[in-house]
Amino acid sequence: MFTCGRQRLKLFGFGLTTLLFFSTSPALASIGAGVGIGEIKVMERLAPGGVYLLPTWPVVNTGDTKANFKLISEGVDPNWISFSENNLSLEAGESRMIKSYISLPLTAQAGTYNVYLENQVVPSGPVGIGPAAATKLRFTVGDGKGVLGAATQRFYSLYTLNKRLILMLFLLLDLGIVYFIIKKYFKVSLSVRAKEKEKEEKRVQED
Amino acid sequence: MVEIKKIIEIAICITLFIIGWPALAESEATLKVTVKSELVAVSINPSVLDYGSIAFCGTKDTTGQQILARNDGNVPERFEIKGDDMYMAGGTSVAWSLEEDANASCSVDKFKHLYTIDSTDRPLTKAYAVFVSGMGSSGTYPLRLKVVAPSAGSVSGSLETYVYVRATAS
Repeated sequence: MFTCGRQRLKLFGFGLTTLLFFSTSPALASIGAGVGIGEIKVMERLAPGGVYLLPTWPVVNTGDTKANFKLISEGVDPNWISFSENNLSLEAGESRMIKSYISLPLTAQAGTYNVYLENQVVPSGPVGIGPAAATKLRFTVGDGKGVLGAATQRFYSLYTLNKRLILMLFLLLDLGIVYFIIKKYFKVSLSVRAKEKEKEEKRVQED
Repeated sequence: MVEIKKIIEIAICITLFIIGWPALAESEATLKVTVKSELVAVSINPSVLDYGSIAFCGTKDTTGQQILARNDGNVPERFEIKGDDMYMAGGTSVAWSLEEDANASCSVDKFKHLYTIDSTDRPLTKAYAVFVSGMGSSGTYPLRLKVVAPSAGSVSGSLETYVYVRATAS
């Protein structure tokens, strides 16, 4: 890169002293970002391997024009925090409720963590200024019970967070078993006959 | 034998119902937390700047342009600022990297981006730095930026860079 630049400078001589640096006109619209929660403090100790659902988090476009936003976390490994949406587009004044989760790795170190959950406008150049609003998140990770304990915690967390889905699977399984039992041990026969035909048969029998 | 199989199958069925049924009553588990419900928000006007053309090692600032960071929230806020590298227009490849040392002289493929507080220029870094605390609701802060171009660059043409201003509750 450097060599290339020197070659270019040599080629054009000393005449090349300026660069076309920034060319478009400044945008006069105000762009803004907001969050509806200033601070979240988790009151219980979290276990390594656990997956935890945080309170629903409102994000808002406080600017006077439509803008694209990205949701990011800062302060811990980005893989620890996840959002129901990572990129969104909001009209001026529009807000959206976002679900966010803490997913602790099996090897998470014990301690208190301070994290920023950030709603950030995606800036555009040449020199784009992107406003961002952040919620402070504070949580404490307790001592782990080994990798096996953390794995158990992960299994328990996923069960807790996906109970409805698991219930549906159980119900489907139950229905299958009930069908299997009925088919194997009971004989059910259904028949449809016209009423007139039935009456005629009865009359014949009576005669 | 058939009877035992029948009993086992019915037992499995009942067990599955017992395990799955509580899920119907409970909703998604959430944490025990304390939450401060307040609007934390910031807006920038204008959000796109134009430094125009600039010479190698040359400096341009935004003195002629009024840039305002405004507290759009309902609580006092702290504003932080950070910078980024210089990219080729419309792309993601880095043209010049951000020089974070205020005392460094202009060098090849490195540019400085400065912001001014109390008439003192400070370099933007890739980590957030606080530039105002306790900004009241609807309060504004005038932002002044300055760029120092490299001594030489391997690229020329239109370039892009970004500045981020973050608000948190004070």
